[in-house]
Amino acid sequence: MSKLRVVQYLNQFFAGLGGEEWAGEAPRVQEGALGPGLALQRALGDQGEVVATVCCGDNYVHEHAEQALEQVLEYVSQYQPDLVVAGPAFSAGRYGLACGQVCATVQERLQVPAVTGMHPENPGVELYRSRVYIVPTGATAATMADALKRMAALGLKLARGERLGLPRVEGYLPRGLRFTELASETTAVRAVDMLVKRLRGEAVETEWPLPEYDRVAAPPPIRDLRQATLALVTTGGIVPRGNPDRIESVFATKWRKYSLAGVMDLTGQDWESVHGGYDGTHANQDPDRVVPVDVLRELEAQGGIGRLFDHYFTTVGSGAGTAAAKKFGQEIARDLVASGIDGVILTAT
Amino acid sequence: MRLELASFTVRDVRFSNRTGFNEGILSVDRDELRQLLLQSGDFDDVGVEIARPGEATRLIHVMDAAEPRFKPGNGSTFPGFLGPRKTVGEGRTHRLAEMAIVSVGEPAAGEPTYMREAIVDMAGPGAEVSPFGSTINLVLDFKPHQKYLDPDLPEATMHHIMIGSPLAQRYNHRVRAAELQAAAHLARTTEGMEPDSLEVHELGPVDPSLPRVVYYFQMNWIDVYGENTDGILPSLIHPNEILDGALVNVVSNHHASYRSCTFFNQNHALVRELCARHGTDLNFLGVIIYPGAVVNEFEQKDMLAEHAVKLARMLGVQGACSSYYGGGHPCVEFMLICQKCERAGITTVQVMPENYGTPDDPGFVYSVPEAVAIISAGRATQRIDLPAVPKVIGGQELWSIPGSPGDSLSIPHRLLYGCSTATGYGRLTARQY
Repeated sequence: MSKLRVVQYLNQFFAGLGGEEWAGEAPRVQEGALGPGLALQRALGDQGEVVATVCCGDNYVHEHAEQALEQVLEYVSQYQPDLVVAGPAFSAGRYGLACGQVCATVQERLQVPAVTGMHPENPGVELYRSRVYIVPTGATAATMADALKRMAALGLKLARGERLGLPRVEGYLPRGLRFTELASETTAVRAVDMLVKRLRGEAVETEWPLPEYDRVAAPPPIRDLRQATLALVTTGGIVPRGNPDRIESVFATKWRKYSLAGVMDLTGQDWESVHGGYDGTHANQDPDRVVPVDVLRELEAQGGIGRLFDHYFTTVGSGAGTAAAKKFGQEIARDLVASGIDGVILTAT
Repeated sequence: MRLELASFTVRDVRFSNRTGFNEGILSVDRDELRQLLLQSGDFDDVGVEIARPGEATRLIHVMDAAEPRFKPGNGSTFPGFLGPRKTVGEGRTHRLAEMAIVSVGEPAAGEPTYMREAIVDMAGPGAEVSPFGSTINLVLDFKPHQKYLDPDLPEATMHHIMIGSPLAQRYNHRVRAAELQAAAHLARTTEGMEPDSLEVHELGPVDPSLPRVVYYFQMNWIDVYGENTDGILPSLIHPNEILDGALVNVVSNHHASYRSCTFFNQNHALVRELCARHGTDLNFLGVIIYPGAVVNEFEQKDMLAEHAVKLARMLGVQGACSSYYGGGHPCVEFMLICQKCERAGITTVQVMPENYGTPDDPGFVYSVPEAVAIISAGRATQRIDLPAVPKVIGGQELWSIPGSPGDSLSIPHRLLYGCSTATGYGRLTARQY
């Protein structure tokens, strides 16, 4: 088997240019291994060869993100690598972010596998762990040789297209990706085994770790409702009758924004619920029960609120995954902010 | 309560001019069975087919599955559906092992289909993950009688978006009654015969130092003794009742991979495993059943959980297995039971199918910090590729999937019948990469 071609990405410091004063340096490329590349080459042995080193200043890559990445990509592709190794970045934040971004981009744009190494608390981990294989390292360059050895071993597997096993077996930080597999024992046997172990006080490992959710801090109260523009947002699946955009009854893949201009009341004649998770009888009789347009119009007329925003936002919450819900939430929030909304009434079902 | 499950292992099912069981071969008089099921007047026709493991056959529109059972003497076979409503779980029950009766068919008027598709492949990767890919299946293809198909009937109005019109609910009950009638009819062929093996379930006295354990069974659309269980409080029942045909699925419009299924209740894997370890590793006290998806307010869910955990405390329980049927908001009461158990000093293990969208989604509808021992029954949204098959039983087209149902398919596991049941029957899990 011929040697695999490897390109390494380094920052200005590890490439030997210098410290902070060189952080503004634009990308450059050099044939062969450089600095830590020598240790990488030793780790690769006769399996691979470091054919080039691309480096870039840590500030430049963030201040000129697009330009820098394009240049890095061009240099990398010139050498037609089978694998890109970025860093290791240890606990250096800007460097870690750059390594994550270079790896993600190389994989997605050039279809070349990539691996990087970082301390688990490097901010690059949180941002890129789901897209990039990251080998955990110590906080400082003292662990360089060991880190590169593990990165090389993982990288070679990736470059050969081998299927990687579990994170702790292969030595990468869990990407948070869950895949269905066949276990050797039935679900029932595994469950009772786990219970018996727990009852004996033995340690067990959950098959489904609890997530860490974002906590959203409540905004300050609206100072004067009589001046405020309020919007209605719902996961209750109220749509114009006929569901023109085909929002799905479960596992919705989209949200929509519909006009309320001139609408004083949502009637069952013109609106309906397409939500697959609750009995829609009462919502269909009077969709205001889910999206209370009638009451807000009254308040608007009485001066209790400034104005009801002339669109409402809707999707179906039934079966919604957190990732999809987060994306919908961010998109809707962007639209709300851009529309100058002061407050939102969010109705679930 | 002593239940003797007398197993007659079925090596093959064949059509014949006489129904009978001999040397592991179940012979079925196809027309006799068909006529028997048509007597109720609920069906325009009932197709009877055999689907064996390894055959390139696909079953679609699966509604339910059951194992052939018969209780000789004065026992009640499928109480509330077939036999009289009396407590089961005692005495001898004949079972035809290694086979299933699988009911397939079109919906009634006002029956929703957005979650109703359910597929079983008898060969290939689909057969490997669905429990019914490895049983010999007698497939009953139900064609509803005209009286269940008129959309203009007042009864055909969609009353509940998941379980559909009252007509659809009634029709689904009638399909289960027919399926169980067939199940009893076939198992009765073993009357007076000696079984291949006898499995005895009896929660006898054990070493008092063994940890006292219950199982929390969150049910969805399961009738118990033929009765709707929507409004019931969490109740303690004997595991033998579950194994002996008291729990029957009655709704088809629910995700196939974790739909409650009569066969899984009759062969409830978690219950069987807890029974098997009674007296060696634990002291199994019973099953606390409760309905999922029937209370909506957090306070009601909290009250339900309080009650469920109080029952365990009254029994002096130290450990609990708890299963989540796999819906949406019932995850709340499921998690609250875990929390209240752990706070009461009851060690819990939870069994959950995963039903979220993408691999990077953590996937919990609701969770509590105490939920640290979870067994995953597989991630339902992951896709699986199924090869094209020459033979399809159950319908002409798949709901929500274009093309011919015999085509090669790339579908989420969610559509594979029974592959991630929380009753513990399967082997699917999900691992974190």
